[in-house]
Amino acid sequence: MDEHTVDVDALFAEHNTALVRYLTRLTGDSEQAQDAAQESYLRLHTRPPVHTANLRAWLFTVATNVVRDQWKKQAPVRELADAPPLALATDPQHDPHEQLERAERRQIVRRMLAKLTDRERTVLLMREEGFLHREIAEAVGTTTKSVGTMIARALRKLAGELGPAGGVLS
Amino acid sequence: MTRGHIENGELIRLLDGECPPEEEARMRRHLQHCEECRRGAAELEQLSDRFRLALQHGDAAEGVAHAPARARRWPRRRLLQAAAIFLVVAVAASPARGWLVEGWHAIRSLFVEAPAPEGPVGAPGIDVGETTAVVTFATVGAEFRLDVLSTQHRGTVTIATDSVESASARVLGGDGSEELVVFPGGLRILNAPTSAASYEVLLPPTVSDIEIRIAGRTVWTANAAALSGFIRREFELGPGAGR
Repeated sequence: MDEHTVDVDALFAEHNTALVRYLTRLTGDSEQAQDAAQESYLRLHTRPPVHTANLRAWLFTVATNVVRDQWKKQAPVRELADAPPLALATDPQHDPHEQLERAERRQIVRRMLAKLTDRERTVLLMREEGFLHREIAEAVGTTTKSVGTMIARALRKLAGELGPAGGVLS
Repeated sequence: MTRGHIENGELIRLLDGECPPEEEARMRRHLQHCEECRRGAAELEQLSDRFRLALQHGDAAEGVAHAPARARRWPRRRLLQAAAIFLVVAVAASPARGWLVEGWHAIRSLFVEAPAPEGPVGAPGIDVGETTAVVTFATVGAEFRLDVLSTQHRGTVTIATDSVESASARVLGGDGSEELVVFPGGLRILNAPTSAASYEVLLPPTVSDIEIRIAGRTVWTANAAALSGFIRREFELGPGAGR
């Protein structure tokens, strides 16, 4: 395998669960997340990176760009909290009350994430996936040292949502 | 650092293990003496933990997999491994004032003591005195909550889990001298000679095994299968219990 060849199957097997989780959190829409993941693998196959030392970071960065492109194509006013919920009536495994509760929890978390800018959300969510600040900086186009500042600012912005007295976790 | 204090972004870099050793050492020296920065670091740490927990709530509702511990935590864990730094939440003058974010110190010695000695209560070196506790265990959404009502005399309660996620706790009583030591995989409650306090402990949903030790002795364990069946149960723990 030369340096321009990427084993997409292996990359999928190792990282797809995390990638879809990241994209679902980022977009608030599981279908859009699946589409973005597929598009990322396609790009990886058709336009493999020159350097293959850190394919995981490359994959997440490409996926982030795919989502960003999707956002640009969408209506000018895009509300993460308004992303379509999963169909409530299609899952016979759960009763309606439980599904309603799940839908409410989804909306609460989406509303929390919607308070962040796209960039802030990307930074926090990549951090959750364990990326180094340097890798996050490359994905969002900033300096490594700025990432810490962006994380802190985003977390403080969510303080009201994350506090012990009310909010997402209450 | 601005006006002698550590900026928020730098605190995040410290928490995430992103600082070069000399910079980290400089910041830790500052934290030892600056309550304001310690409070800031503790707040950011707690916001990070609560953000993670909120995401997990959302993941469960979205039907996507939780992040495995390695992916979610490894930068923080790397810091912990490198420097043996632990979050210490010291109970200050008003112990019932809510979630405790007071202290943040390096306390390697406490970690060294953490593996509890085997043997009966009252093993050499441990003055357990009168130690009893009633633990109420409940599942609250995706979290586990332990309410520990205890009366202790220089006793130590250790709640150990198989998760690398940090637990959170608050004190609902006590005489203001208790210490909570939160470490990856659980927490310890260090009690003063005359302490009677309740502790509300929130454990992350990634927990599947819990072990409670009082004064070095395991008094209660539960695994995933046992936990899943519980809605609310009470356990009386302490010397003589759990035999």
